[in-house]
Amino acid sequence: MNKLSEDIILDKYVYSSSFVLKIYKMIKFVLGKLSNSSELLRLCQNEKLRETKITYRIDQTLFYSNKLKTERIKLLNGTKEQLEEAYEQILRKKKFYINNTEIRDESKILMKCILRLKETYDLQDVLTKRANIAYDSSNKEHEDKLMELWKLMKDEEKLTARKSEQWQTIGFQGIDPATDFRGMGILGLEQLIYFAQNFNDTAKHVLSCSHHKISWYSFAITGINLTALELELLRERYLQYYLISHEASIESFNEFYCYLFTEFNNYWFKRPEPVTVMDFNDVFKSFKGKIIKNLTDQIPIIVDTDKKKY
Amino acid sequence: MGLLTILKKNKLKEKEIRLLMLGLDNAGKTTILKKINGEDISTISPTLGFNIKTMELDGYKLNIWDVGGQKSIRSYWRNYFEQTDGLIWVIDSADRKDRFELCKKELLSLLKEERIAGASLLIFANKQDLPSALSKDQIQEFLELDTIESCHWNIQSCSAYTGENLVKGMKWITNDIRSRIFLLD
Repeated sequence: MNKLSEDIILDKYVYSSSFVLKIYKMIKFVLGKLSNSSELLRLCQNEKLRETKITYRIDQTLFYSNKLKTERIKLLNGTKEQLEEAYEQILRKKKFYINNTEIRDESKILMKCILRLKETYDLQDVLTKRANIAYDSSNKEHEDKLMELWKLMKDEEKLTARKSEQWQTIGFQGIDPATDFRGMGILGLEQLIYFAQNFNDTAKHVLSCSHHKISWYSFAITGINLTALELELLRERYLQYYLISHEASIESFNEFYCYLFTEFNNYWFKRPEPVTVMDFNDVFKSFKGKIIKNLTDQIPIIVDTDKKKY
Repeated sequence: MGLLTILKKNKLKEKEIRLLMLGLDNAGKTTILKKINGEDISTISPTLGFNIKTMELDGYKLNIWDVGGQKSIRSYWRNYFEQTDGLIWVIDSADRKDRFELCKKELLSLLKEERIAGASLLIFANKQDLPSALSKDQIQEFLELDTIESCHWNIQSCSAYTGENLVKGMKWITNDIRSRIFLLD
């Protein structure tokens, strides 16, 4: 059991219930009146916190604030001009000015954190766009990618035809993977390739596990379901702490996918009772719960930059 | 009044109907289910195992079982036949020729199963929003639906993407099941 440190308890429980959040907001209100400050200002003044933590808390504060709704959208989803305008408004509203003079150091920290935060929201847009590009069999680039996946997973076996029963051996549904990508589009394929390319041994190991006689599951289809899960985690802001503490990039997103895949494989084979593919949905749901718990507990996700094994 | 009738009557009191939704992979089963339920259909992934959704229609509680359609899962379909009041067979109307052949074969072998012999059969000719989709009549002819005598059936063209005719199909199967159960009195 990982012992939760004090500062995680605040992150974990304050925002998890609307009742606690209301009480927290009341405390903040009183504190703000007494010290003539704001939560944002106090965060930027807190020398004990790491910048990652400050950035994460600013994200939470902005997200749950009723008074900064429009500013938040302008800051995180808007243009550069909108960002500057909203930033200026927040400085004024949130007491970053004393007697009409800006508190320089704190407002600089605020801007720095906001820019880091913005990267996570930009990443959401980029990835949503990738997922919206449907797999297209007439697009050579897409077809090449698909072939690359085959080669990475099955270097010893040649594909006899483009449409072949062989695709099922790496866990697609039928003879043509094209229709399997569905809502995850080209992103689903790119993530499978990332896993197969950067953690080839692990990916092959997971594939061979997935061929279990009783508890088999479909490798590629599971991968596509994991892409959908990860995108959902990103949109629901569960990945924020991970992304802020690493780097809000496609690579970090892909690294997390590899972590998800290996974790899922372990989870599947470690159920108290052996499961079959017909239990997939139940297992997947409880797996999602476990991952969300890990993320809200801020358990460090080990990202192996040497591309060895998880 | 036989035991079966009493059982059916009790079921009617609860107003619960159990539907099984099957079809080849990529026919659009999960999309239909989610669309009817008013959920987002832009992020659907292929189904491994099954999904269950409960919805209300005309005062009836429908429990819809959506089971994955890939070849390796089809052998599990039979595990879901028990107590099924209605079967919804979903077809990708814009599919390849060889897949239509396969679809016909799978449907016919399904209809031979005793445990679902009396169930109402709704066939959704899905993906009518695609330009290459075959019409409902073409599909009816290809599948030789007119030769089916073991159960009440109906074919409904629809689009899970736009939502067109989904509720219409669901209403037909609900009504058919209702009238069948009443007839037993």
